[in-house]
Amino acid sequence: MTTLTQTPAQNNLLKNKWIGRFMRSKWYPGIIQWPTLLIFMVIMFELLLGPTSAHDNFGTALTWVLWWPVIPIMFLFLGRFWCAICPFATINDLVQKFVGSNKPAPKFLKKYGIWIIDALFIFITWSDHVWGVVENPVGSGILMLTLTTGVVASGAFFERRTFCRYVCFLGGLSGNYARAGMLQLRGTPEICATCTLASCYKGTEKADGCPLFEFPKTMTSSANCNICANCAKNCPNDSIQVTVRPPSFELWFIRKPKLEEAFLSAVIMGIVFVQNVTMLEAWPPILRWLENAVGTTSYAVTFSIAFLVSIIIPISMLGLTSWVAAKFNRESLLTNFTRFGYALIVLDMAGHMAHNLFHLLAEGKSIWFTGLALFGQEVGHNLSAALMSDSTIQLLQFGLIGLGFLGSLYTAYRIAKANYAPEKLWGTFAPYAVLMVVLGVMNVYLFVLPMAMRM
Amino acid sequence: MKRSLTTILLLFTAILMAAFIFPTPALADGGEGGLSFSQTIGGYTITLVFEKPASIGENPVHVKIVDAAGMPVPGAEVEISVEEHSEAEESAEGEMDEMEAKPTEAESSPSTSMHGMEENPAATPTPGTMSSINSISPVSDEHDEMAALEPGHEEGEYEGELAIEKDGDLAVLVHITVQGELLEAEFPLEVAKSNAGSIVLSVFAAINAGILAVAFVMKSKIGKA
Repeated sequence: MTTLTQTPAQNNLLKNKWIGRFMRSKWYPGIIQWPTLLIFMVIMFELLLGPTSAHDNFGTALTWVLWWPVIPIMFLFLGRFWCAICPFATINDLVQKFVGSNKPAPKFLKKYGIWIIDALFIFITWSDHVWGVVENPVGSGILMLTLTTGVVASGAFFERRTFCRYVCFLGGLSGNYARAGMLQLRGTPEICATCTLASCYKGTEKADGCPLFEFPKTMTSSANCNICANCAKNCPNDSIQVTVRPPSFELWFIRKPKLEEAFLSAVIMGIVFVQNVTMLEAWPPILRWLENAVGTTSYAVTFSIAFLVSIIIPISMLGLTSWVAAKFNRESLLTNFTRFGYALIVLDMAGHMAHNLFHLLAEGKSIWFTGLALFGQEVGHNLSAALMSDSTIQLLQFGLIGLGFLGSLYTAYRIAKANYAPEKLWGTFAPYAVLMVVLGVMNVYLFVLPMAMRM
Repeated sequence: MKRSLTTILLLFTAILMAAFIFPTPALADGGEGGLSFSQTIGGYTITLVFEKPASIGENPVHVKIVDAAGMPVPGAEVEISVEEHSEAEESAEGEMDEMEAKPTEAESSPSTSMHGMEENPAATPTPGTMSSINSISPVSDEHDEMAALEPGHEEGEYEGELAIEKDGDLAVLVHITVQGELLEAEFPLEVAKSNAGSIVLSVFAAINAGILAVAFVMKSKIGKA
């Protein structure tokens, strides 16, 4: 018997001869992991020792025009698979292999990990705007080196991938998005119920245990599964299933919602807002108005205010909606906030993808231009870097926002349906439906406004 | 065996640190002090002064304008930008082509030009504005943006900041509007390659080497225990 949170076992991709063999082989995920590390080293070299202008830097183009826009798409289709091949994780594993003390992850990280991730995510976005991480290759290099130092320290002293699980800001983002992703790995309950070995968690001579501290036997979320297939390699009972599920499926049945995760989804919405707003032609007048209002031209001050407001808007909207919903379902505001915060994830993802689609499609050729420049070929100075016209990109952006809106709306409905009796269902759902409409309209409005950086 | 391993590791760490700690020396343009360039166009002498050697980032600059009689020229609109040298030449050539069709009083070097009441679509960058983590535009033509200078403390002096984003052979373009006339001067500028990347790399290499050394010692102790 399968539970509500599982998709039927007949879809198990591991039963496919080729996929199963590949994922269980010793080459997986190394065959993808090592080339990724190699590309990362090229990126690091370019960022730190290559052209000082982002305009000419291949590392900048690969990181911010290709990787960053592609990563949310990857989360949607492959869950947290990126984390299996992430170069930082590879560095963690290497350091651990040679000098690792393998101490248990600190308790405070286990307890406050997601809050730390929330704070880091906010800080990194803020610092990018104030110090210019993206527009300055060395700034991007410093970010990468900081992460490298984090994983080196983590790999040197702590077991498994402590950094990836409890500290990495991208890991937090990917964890949230992977919940809405279409790939799921789980144990088969009937088989796992009789298992006392826990090889999937502990590891065997075939492979290490789960690097992200998950136990497939009890796992109900894809947030911390990177599809590395170590569990599949280790399981003596062939219990592991990798299945394809509808997007956002997991969000409909969150068993133990956490405030910090719901909070992160609202924060991401705010960050998407601020990313869009700062690209608008209306941004300089807003900035000037703020400068006059607060009496300083310090960008750190004015941006911090704008950033804070952008983050507070979705958090307060979710809070207000939860307060209204609480009137209907007689549960606390916090319970509603925590439970329905997850519904925002789909729209978060859509907004994130839509925003980055612009960079990928309007500036995609810059990867080619800067790549050729690496080999001394000067091209593209007067050529457009666009892969598609602005109108086509905008159409795709609206399409994505539309899908994200429908996904979030439906997720809110499913969460209400899974948690409340029919007489409370519509009263609980209605305020969240209004919230999704408002957030959807806000997103569409931001993409309608002319953007200063459109080419 | 363990001792020799420690020696090898420490030696490797020392070599790594040395390689990063002694990077290619920085070549500051113009030596210790600032830089000063002068050019005469249409009877006006334009002097561009960098307070410090030009480098990547914000550079405080002054522009002094004096007329043919040596008197300072107040009330001018002064804008400044920086371009790659080749781009600046192309741009100047284009402007020279335009000038051929117009009567002009241009003098001085071929890379300078003077236009009559020509409208210049200057854009003043917002101070501190930076692209977001998702907002990189590596192929944007940012050289088109010109920063306006404000009147300085002395008459005929204008000051502000010039943002330089890349090293190499560049050209500083100064657009001055005096009594309805647009004067354009171009000053060649060589910005030495920044060694910021090497410094950053060395600092992080040292930190990471330290972490690895501590971890190695800890692991050895655990092994002995």
